[in-house]
Amino acid sequence: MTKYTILPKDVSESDFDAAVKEFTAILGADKVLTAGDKLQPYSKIMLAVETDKHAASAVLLATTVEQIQAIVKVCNTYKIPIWTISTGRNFGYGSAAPVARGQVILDLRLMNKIIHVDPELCTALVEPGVTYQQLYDYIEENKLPLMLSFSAPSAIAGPLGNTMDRGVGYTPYGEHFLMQCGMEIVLANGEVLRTGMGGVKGDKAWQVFKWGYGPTLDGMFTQSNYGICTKMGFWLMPKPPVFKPFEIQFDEESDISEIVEMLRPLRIAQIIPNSVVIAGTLWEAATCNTRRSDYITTPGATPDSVLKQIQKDKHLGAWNVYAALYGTPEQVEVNWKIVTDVVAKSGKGRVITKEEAGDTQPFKYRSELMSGVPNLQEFGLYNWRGGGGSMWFAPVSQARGSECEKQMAMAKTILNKHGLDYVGEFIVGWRDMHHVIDVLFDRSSEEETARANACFSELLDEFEKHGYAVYRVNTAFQERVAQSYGTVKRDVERAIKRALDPNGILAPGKCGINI
Amino acid sequence: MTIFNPTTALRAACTAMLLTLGLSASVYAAGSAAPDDKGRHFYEKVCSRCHETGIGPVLLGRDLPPIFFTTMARLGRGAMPAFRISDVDDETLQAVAEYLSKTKVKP
Repeated sequence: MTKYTILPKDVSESDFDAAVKEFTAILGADKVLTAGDKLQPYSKIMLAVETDKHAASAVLLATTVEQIQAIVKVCNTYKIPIWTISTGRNFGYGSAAPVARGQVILDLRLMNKIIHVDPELCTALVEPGVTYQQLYDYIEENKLPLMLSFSAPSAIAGPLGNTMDRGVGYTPYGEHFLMQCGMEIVLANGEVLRTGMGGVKGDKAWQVFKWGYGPTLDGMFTQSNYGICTKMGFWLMPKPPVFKPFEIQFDEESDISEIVEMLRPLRIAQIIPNSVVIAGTLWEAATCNTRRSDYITTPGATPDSVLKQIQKDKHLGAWNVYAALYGTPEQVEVNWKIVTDVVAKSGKGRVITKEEAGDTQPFKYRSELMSGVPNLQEFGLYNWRGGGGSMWFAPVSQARGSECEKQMAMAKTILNKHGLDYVGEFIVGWRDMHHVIDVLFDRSSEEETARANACFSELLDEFEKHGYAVYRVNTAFQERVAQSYGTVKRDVERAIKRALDPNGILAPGKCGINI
Repeated sequence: MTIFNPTTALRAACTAMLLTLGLSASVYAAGSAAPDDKGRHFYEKVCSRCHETGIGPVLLGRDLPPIFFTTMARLGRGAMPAFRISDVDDETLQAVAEYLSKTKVKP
């Protein structure tokens, strides 16, 4: 028996006592949480595994870089594994909970300073706890001509965490890591590294020139456990004089191939500059507050006949394309003609403008996401089945119609086999597709949770057989996905880990990386 | 708009959660009342994003005790995320809960 709820793996109670005492000396007693009731909010996950598997042993609330430097020194002394979170809102990927039971959460939510926003160079530098809503409010209050890009849980998530996990958004700056510029990293030995130009004394170019000199290191700190990011710079898009969102609805599931072939040239040529979304019926239905129980109460996969009925009732397409034009009135006018001509020539698709859609959902929230206005409307997805279960399955593909059609058919077959629904969208990068599928299940049902787990495993296995892998995954499947990327990559990652973090104190197991 | 009807069973579940947390209603009742505007501000800025858009249940005018709201916020429920001490401190959360417990149904 121990007085702690859990102990970190391979750490004795006496060593943990000593570490907690030192953490308390660094942070103060109210910033070191070990009591069960204080830890409980950190353990809430949406994954199809037992909550206990991802329970933390303690939480440390740091507010300065110096505190973090002191914390890692204690961790090295007592071999304490720490799991760092920024806003901890990585829903469907693990939320705030650690990859392995017993890790100590280093919560940086209280480090929430917007260090600078430069309205001329259109750059920002922020701490980990800054949320998109906070940044949006700052931009609005100061009347800055800038636009944010963010993922759907925008109001409560933040740019640093989302970018470090290589998340995506919906504006022309939607590939967030592409827009990152300069990081401050606390290394496992307590030293502070600034990437890019950040190491040069007197430098002013940290947030404008990404590469610096010699190897460019920023990428290796994303989706990894090589350091703790305490500041991150990134680029902001100038607010355009004209923003013209639009939707194109297509009636048949089999239209996906033609849609992609039609959009790709427009996207690569930047006629449509933003991360276009091609969303399926159920995604759209759920985000305009449709519940499965409104239509059917029998368990299992929802029949296609019901999907067609929802499509009709809610005025949705089988596929719903959302995109926008940005620029001067002249630019937008030219590009609008190009887009509408292409759609007309295809003979398929209904174009819907903002004027036609009015304030209806889901057009409204999609339009907000494409213009950098935070909302949480997409959480409607969780009401489709209810029960709080969600795991994102996000395979990458080429932006080719045939690839998307194949992936969609494979995913739907596997999900339906396990009694679950295909709730998915494609986010069009410049040449790639992030095929984002929300594996939704009732987590209050043990039986459905077990099915969801089996389904997720099968999705990974079957997609791998066809040469596909996910770009990001929840904490329960990170080791499994690391295997998809091959042994040489894993060996290199391990060598780097051993060099930078010989005691393996930083998030061991994250993305399958251990010493 | 979804209407949430807390049943006797749900109230019992709430009490059970409080026991799990090792808290008692009296601890909270003994706290000094926070100004409504602090609670209202947080509600409007954060909670209303889901609870006034049809995503989460309506919270206004439900005639529920503050402890119900504080417990739900800290633990989450179903898809509702848990709000940690770093998201909202105890004082602010208590102000939100007291504000909500006194609100009337929106016309």
